[in-house]
Amino acid sequence: MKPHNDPERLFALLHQIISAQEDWQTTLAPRIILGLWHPRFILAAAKITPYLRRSHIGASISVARDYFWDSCQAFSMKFAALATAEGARFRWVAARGSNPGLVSYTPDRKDAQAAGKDILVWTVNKPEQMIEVWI
Amino acid sequence: MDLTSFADRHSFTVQCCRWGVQVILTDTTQVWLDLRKELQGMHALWLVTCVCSLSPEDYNKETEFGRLFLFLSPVYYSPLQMGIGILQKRFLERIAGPFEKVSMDQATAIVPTPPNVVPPPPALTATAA
Repeated sequence: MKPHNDPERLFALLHQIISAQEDWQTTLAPRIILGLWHPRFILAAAKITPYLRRSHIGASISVARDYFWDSCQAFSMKFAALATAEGARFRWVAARGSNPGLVSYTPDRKDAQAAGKDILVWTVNKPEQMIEVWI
Repeated sequence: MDLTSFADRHSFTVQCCRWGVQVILTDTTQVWLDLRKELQGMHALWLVTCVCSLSPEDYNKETEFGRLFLFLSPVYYSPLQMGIGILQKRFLERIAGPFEKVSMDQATAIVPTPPNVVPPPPALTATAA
């Protein structure tokens, strides 16, 4: 969702288009994920299209952690940001822990509830980056 | 090699990531698909190697593309990425206003409402002068 848009109008139009399709609740909506750059879009998305999963798109771990962590189920982050030490902690906690701003980052932490956040990484074009993510 | 590490390694392979990411976005899809195929073969070979104590010569992809690039470029260091993050935030704030924290309670407390679609502007029609 480009930040230039008016969130209320954008999501209303989106809902109108999606809900016009046959069986949209079961066939279309589960396949859509909203990509939010700016936190101004979160409440409008939750209000008008609560059936769509929300993802933060960004290049800053601290922005993702501070403004989007609670309200987004997924994070679409720049490779270089995830490759830093903060990015590594973020990935670890996103997969296994709770809010990365609140927990200690001990890898053998046993009591952490799985945060269950999905992570998408972009743009992985070089083979060494692909190997880094994969291996 | 014990069964636990075997299982761990296997699930690691299936999960497909050192990073634990679910999606990889790339502009070079075919490169990624070919590489993934190779890597899947490598892992299968690795498992066979562990069981049969072989040392295959072609199990070298990981060393071919080592992790050194992460340390040789300033791009992958925190200070630079923090700076980029600050610039990105400022850029977005110039477009759509300041960032404000939204709590989960705030987001979940909202009762979904039927959207009030703003009607599009009326189509321009030719008017007779």
